[in-house]
Amino acid sequence: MNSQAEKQERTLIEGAAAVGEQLAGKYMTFKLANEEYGLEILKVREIIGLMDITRVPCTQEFMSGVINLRGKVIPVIDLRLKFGMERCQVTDQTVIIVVQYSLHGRNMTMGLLVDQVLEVLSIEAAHIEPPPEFGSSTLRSDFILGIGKAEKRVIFLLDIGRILNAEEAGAVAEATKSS
Amino acid sequence: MDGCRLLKDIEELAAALVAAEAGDAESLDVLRRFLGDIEAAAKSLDFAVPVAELVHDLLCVAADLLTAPDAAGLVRLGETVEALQKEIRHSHKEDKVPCSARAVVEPTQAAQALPPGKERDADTIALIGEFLSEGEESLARADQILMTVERDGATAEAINGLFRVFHTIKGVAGFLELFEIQSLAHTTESLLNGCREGLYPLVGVRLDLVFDATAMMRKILADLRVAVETSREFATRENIAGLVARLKEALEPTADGGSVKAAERQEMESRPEDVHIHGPAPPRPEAREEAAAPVAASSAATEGGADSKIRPTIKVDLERVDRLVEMIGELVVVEAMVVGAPEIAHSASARVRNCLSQLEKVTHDLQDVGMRMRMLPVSGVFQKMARMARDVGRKAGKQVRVVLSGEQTEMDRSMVEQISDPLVHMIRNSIDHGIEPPDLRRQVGKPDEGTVRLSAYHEGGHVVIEISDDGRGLNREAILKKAIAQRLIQATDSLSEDEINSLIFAPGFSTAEKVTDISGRGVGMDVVRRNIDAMRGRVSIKSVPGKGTTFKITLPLTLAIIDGMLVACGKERYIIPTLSIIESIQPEASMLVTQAASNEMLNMRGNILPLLRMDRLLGAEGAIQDPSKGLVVIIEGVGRRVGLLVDEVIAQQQVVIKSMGEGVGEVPFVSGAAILSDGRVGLIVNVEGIVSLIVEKRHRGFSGEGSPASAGATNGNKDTKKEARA
Repeated sequence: MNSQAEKQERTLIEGAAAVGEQLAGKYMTFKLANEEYGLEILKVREIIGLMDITRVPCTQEFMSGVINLRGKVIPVIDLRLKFGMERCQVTDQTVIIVVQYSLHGRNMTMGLLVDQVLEVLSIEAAHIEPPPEFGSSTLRSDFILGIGKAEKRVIFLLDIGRILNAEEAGAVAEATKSS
Repeated sequence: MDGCRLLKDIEELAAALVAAEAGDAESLDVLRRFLGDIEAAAKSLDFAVPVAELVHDLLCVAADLLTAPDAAGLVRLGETVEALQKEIRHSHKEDKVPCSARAVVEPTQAAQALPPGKERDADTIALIGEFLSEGEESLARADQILMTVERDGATAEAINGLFRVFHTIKGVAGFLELFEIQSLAHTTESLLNGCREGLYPLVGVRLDLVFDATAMMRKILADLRVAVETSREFATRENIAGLVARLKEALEPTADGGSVKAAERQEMESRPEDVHIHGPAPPRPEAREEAAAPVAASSAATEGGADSKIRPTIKVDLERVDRLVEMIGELVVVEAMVVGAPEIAHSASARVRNCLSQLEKVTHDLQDVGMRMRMLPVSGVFQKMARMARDVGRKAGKQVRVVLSGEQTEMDRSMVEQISDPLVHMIRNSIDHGIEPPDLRRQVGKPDEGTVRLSAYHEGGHVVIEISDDGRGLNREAILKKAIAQRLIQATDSLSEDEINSLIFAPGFSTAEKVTDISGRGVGMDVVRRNIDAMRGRVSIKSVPGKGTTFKITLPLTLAIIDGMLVACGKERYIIPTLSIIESIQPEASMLVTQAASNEMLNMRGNILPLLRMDRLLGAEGAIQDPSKGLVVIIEGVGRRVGLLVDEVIAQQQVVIKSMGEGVGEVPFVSGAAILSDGRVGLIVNVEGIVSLIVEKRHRGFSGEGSPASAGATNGNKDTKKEARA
């Protein structure tokens, strides 16, 4: 019994180390309310100040609308609403982080509305833990890749490709196919 | 060829060497013989330095060995042979000569029409791609010449032009080892050569044969393109051998012996070129240029004949052009932002204002040029149609003359491609249903030959394409009868002329009594309507019984730009495509009709139109609620009109259409986005979507209360419809 438990623990530790290995690198961190999140730096294209967002009818609430990024129309997602948090008052620190990633072989560019951008942080493998299991009672959390620790702060590392859930991504793929 | 032979010799030498090592005395003789061959082959060839050196080494080692055979010598010879093999294979790979070392090792592969897909390297694919686009272009030219020949008789220049087309295809096809294409091109070329030498005229059967050869060649090229794109083995369903046999027949029987000779002579002429092309070393670029040169020459000759002047052109990657056009669009927006910025707009300096107006002019000129870069004349499509009309006319046993005008009218490149399908259906229809057989035409006093006119012109910022025939016109009674039978309309409905005419666009609608292989299945006009809708165009019909029918297609100049009306609705701004706007009015309270306190309607000079509120449809806040204080824009789509209540109409402007961006998905009532002059994003209203909401509801008998927009949308009802018609 004892040895089995030990074994389990060891695999857990090894798994955690593997997660850390995979995720180690540079992250851009930003704030939503009092929480800190991190985005893989290579997926971040630029940070722009808040601008006029054109609302798009009949879309989900977290979809703030579309903006003109130097001639290209890109959607903007309010991350607070997406994560089920309260809508925040716009301050002079509110920014849009433009991310670019590829989903189902298509390049996606979108803006993420966040409270405040903090810094670019290098997180070592040893300081990254796999995402905790919240159980089924909580909101979806599969877009959290891992949890990074820096000094006393805790940073949720996001998988940008999973922020839109499967159905939403499917709808996007469908829409792009038909266009 | 010789490079391959040398390699083969060396392979055999290597085999002999192995035998010699095994102590076989006889093999030394074999070895000697092969060495002789290699020496001869190497002398006749200009090899790259390393190969020549190795051959020299080999011969030296071999000479030593043969005078005093010993084991060490054999080993050395073996090493040299191996190095030589490697070097030759390597240099072959660099050359990418189709006759590769592999082809020799597996000779069966070389015999296939084309190496299997996986064997095609990137260069070969690039070459085939070039061959395809050149081939398609030159076939289009051949068609053009053939039409001229059929109309005005053959001239030496025309025959030469045709000859050059097939000659070029033959040359390149041979080089690419597409032997089927080569044989078809070769035989056609031989036939044309006979005409060129005056052995027989290019009329009747022979002209038809050349027509057929052009058509088949085009199909084969299309098959080849598919094969390359899907990287499958090239196989065509066309009966090439059959046509080649017919062509050969035409070469011989009526000829007085001379034509056969001519064909032979032709073959003699072509052969040295083949050898030249298959040569091992790098003379290939020249060979290609040689093959390409006649294309340029013939294009100069034929186009020079047809048009007043030829313009030099370059080929540019489409993606680059698109990128450039996109950036110009961005520049225009930024320019508008700079000019409109209050700090600058209120500047008192005359110099600044001068510079700004200069900037404005230059950017708009630049935008104009950018748009033009994507434009193509419709002549290519028109010629294709003329060609098809001829074939269809023949099949239907009718004499048809096609008159083209305005071929130089330019349209967006992608639209030129998209318009082709609808035109095919409409011309088929005109010929099959419109134009009567010759005996019927004679009875009503028309000339035997029917005329189909295809014309293009610009009209108020749009491109118009008209197809008109001088046939029997639409049979309205038959259309009505059929429509009632198919339950598209009710017997009691009274329809206007336009409404009856547009019934032929309904899917599955056909008045043809029998389905011919040309048309009559009722699919065609449905496709026409849908394709034209997709291009945001409109199609209308004018028909006079006994005199003919005219289809008029109105299209925007480009797909990238839309002429729109900017309207305000609360805090939001939307763009309504101008082409779908009929008029806009400020309604008086007396014009408003309400049914059950929810279904709003507008009484427009006796016509009752459903009235929709844009703010409720699109969820805008703070819009004007009292219709008599706002503006109603009457829009039309799918043949129906509705009124749309907005706050005000701001301006008419041209906007560049952008996709909504990945991640938004499909949005009802919005067809795209555009960047407004203040840099904000404006949404383009999908008129078809809004109008079909009403139409759908009517079809569902007003049970559609649950539909998402029904809360906001007021809808017309059956009574309205009747009233509107009365």
